[in-house]
Amino acid sequence: MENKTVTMAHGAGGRQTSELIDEVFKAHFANPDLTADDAAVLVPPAGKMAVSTDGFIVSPAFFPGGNIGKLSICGTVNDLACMGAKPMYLTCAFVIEEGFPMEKLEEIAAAMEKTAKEAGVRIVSGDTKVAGKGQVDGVFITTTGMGEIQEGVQVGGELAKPGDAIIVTGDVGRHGCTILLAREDFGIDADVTSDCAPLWGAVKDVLDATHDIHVIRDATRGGVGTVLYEIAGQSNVGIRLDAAAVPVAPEVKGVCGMLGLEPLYLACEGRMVIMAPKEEAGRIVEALRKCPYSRNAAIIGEVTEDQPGKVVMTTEIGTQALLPQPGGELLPRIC
Amino acid sequence: MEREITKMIRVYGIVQGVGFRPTVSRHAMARGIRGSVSNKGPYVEIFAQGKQQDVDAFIADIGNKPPKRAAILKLLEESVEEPEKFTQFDIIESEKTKGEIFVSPDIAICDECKAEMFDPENRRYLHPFINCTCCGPRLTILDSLPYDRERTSMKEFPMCPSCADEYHNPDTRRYDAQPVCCNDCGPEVYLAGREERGREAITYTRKIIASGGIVAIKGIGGFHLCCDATSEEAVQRLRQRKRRPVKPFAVMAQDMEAVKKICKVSEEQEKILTGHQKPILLLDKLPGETRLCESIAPGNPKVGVMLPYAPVQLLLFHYDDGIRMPGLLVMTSGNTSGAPICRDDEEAAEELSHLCDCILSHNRKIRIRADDSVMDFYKGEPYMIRRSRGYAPLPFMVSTPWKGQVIAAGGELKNTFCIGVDNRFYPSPYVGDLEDLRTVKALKETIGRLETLLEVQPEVVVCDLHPKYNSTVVAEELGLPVLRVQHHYAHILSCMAENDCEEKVIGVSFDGTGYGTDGTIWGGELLVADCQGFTRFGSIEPFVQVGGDISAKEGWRIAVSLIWQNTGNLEKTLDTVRKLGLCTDQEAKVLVTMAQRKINAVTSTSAGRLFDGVSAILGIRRASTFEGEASTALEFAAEAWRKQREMQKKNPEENLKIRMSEKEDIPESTGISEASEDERKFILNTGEIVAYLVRARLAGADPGKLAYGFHRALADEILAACEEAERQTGIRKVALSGGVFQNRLLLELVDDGLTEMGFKVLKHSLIPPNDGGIALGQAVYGMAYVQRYR
Ligand SMILES: [Fe+3]
Ligand SMILES: [Mg+2]
Ligand SMILES: [Zn+2]
Ligand SMILES: [Zn+2]
Repeated sequence: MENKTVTMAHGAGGRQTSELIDEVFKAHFANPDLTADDAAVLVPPAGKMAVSTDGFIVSPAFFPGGNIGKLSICGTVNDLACMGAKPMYLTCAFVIEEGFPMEKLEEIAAAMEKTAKEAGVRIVSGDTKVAGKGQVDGVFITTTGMGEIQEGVQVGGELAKPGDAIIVTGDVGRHGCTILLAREDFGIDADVTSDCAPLWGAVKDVLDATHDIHVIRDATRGGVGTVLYEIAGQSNVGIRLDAAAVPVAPEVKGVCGMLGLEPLYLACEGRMVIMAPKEEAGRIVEALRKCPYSRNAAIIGEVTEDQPGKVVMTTEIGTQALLPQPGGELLPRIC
Repeated sequence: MEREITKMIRVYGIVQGVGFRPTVSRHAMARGIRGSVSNKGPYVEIFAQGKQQDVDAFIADIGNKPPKRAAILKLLEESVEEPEKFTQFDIIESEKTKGEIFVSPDIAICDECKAEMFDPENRRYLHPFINCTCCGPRLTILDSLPYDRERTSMKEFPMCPSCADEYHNPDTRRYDAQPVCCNDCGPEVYLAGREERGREAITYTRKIIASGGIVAIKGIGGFHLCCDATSEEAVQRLRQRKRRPVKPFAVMAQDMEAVKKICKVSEEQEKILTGHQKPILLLDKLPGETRLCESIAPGNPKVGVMLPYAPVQLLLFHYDDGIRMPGLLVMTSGNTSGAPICRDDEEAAEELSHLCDCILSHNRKIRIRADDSVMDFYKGEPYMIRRSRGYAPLPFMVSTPWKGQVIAAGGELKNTFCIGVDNRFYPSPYVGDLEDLRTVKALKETIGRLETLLEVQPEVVVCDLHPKYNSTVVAEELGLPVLRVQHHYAHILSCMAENDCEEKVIGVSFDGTGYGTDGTIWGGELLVADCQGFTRFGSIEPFVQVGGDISAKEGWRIAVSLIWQNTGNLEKTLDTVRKLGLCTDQEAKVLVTMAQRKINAVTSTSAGRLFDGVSAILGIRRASTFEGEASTALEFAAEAWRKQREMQKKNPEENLKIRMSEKEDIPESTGISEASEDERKFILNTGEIVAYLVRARLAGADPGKLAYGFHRALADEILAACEEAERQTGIRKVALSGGVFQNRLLLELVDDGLTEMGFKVLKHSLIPPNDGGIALGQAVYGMAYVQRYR
């Protein structure tokens, strides 16, 4: 390709647009269902279908442990997996800033190819637009995924029951911590990588072990803490957390200690929160720990009847504190 | 026969649970008066029939010779025109009437009971629950009013015939004493989860203490954890188990003599120590004293001391089992960190059993928790730090004829709440730190109990402005109209109420953290305030508080932020931070980045944090393991330096030298400056004080001297600000409040300075200057609000 960067012509719909699509996207996304026409023609699943769409903006677009391409696949297939759906098809739309290096775009596409393959999903349709310099920041990606809901699975944020165990599939806050460090020039050289990963494999193994599961939710923006508050509200239950049981990588803990941040509120991109009857918890954790992206799965608390809508944390020194509500400023309270 | 008259008398005040009716009955018999006396809940009602001069003498007796613990606030009399004919003087069983209610706090064991308890001939020899009309539990055993045995937790213990005789005989000290009991009929002590009861339980407990163990003991308002205060090993063990490395422990001394061996005690302090309220008093340790082990209050020139107030506590020191006991015991509240003090066996088993070697409990139930009160002294007057057992819920009265009922939820830490009825305000016992949800639950429970006891139905609830306070959440759940009051304004209102002041004042409200009306964190504030509202006249210089609550524990973070604020330059900041040894370059860089980019950073005028930061800059404390550690260490360093200087000053040669060097080393206050055009507010130039301290510290000046200089300069800026406020408003009254005014050096410097300038200075005495006091201020605001909008 003669141009080293993306130009406005790449988005104009002419020859250069075809070149970009052929040489960058088709080269990576090729599969029998990928269409060159206006719409893909697909065989629908036999059972119920889940559909999800997500837009991805991340600054920086490349970060330790992944890039926006990988993120755009993981985010959507994980949303499907949370409904107990096996990801099947995916469409993607790019908005690229004029002047974006072609090489980087290539890298993004390669990451998407690799991740889609791993997640078992086919990219079937796409769109490319170029926006003028400064109108977008690098590249924005929107993906839409379709998946087949496994038979007999019924999960939802309103289904948590008192007595359920709360499981997190791995250590929390790594993605948020990674991005914060990459974005802000703190001068901290902590070895933190994003947890960005496709989780259908892990969810499938859990579903193979038991169908008796009430909630699966991926903890992305807002982190595990936000997810817990959402579910406590939706299901009108209380949540009791054992702070000592929440897995946090030592580097993340170090950074959070330094910045005075709560790891439970840092974003994850490869972590699920699962709620299921206590009796199933052991089996679920066992299944999770065999999967590559959930080796640190742990039971971190339980669903309770009292304090509906609230998340109560038994801290490491034994006090029982309300996990601060998500959102809003972190205001000091100590007088 | 001389004509007889009949009068009806109503006595208001603390007239219940203090032997009021029997005393009245005795006076009546002595004067040959016939009639009756009865508890009406809010007041005692008396009918007196007899000759005119006898009735008058009888009424005078009531006023002049009331029972020891009574406090008469109002005595009304009126003639009864068509009286019934009385044949004798009767005490009539209680009935209920709504109105002005005074609930007696718990009263420490009296000397007569103490003497009886240690008299082998007495039938209450060594009885752990001995009490009389003058002493014993009150608030903590009360279910509802009027105060009668059947409405207390003593109703489970029917009196034996001997006790019943005393109870009904007006000639005894126990006539009409509701909790009266003895070894035959009273409650019993026992070891929780073990066989031992009574004697065996007490002896077992004493043995454990004497051999260096830790015990939990149920007293009046909750459990204590207790061990030998003279054994370093025992105290260390308690520290480890309680996970409390350095925060001071309170000490219970067997008697006044034991206190005087370890502490300096003034006459006024002795009166309080031996009085019937028995708070923990913060006393100066005697120099060179070694009886008390160092780890009781490490690095602290003071120690909190109290005398036994429950009979069972006396038995720990003296018993007839031959065990030699230490004369000083640690008595720290029995709770796990964050939780309220345990009050029953269940709580004790769950929270204390792993901390102690045995639990000495008893079966008289505690209805309301009451932690020990803690008191400091300032210029010979009590200066309350924590107002609870012995004081709560005595009301504060103001002269303003307000009408209405309000409740105030208080602050977040050291929570107390307050119920206001007309011009009377009843601050609750200490509830605790609401960051822990168990304490939040205790707050809800205690609100319910006190509302029942005082028979109130508040029209409004008042709470803090902070959106994340749990007290605010509790207030919202009460289902009443909610009023929000700014934190520092509430501090000032509490000080005004305590001094019965309603007119406009200049309020100096200095503390750690409060939510400001502009969404930033306030803390070192100058307000112009009355009961209707306030304006923010000035504050200390704003800085960036980085890292949320963690910055309250790690003063070095504030120090870095203050230094960066002054230099405005990363390299210079790093250089200074390095030389002061505050933290690593990386840590400093992170803090500066966070401050610059406003990541987990808020604008703050917190005076408490300023003290923490200065403590770190001077190398005195880099961080705190408990609230106020760094700032009190700063105060102690300043006080120590001042004391040393005063010693040296007695030597005239030294004196001159000191005065010379003082000039160099003490920062001059540069007064105040106008904030900006649009913000009509004055700024205390605290940034310049900090800049001076950094320079002087780097030049090798004595940290103690600089600590003193900091206090001096800050006080001078406060004085300058008050002067400016007076110039603009003409107000000549200043109220001092907020947790920072627990710092007695600053208090003294500001108080003396203002007094010299001719200001009338309002200070706290029986209401804490810290957040334990703000509920009173909130309640006053609510009451004033109710008047305006009725
Ligand atoms: Fe305060
Ligand atoms: Mg989505
Ligand atoms: Zn007595
Ligand atoms: Zn008896």
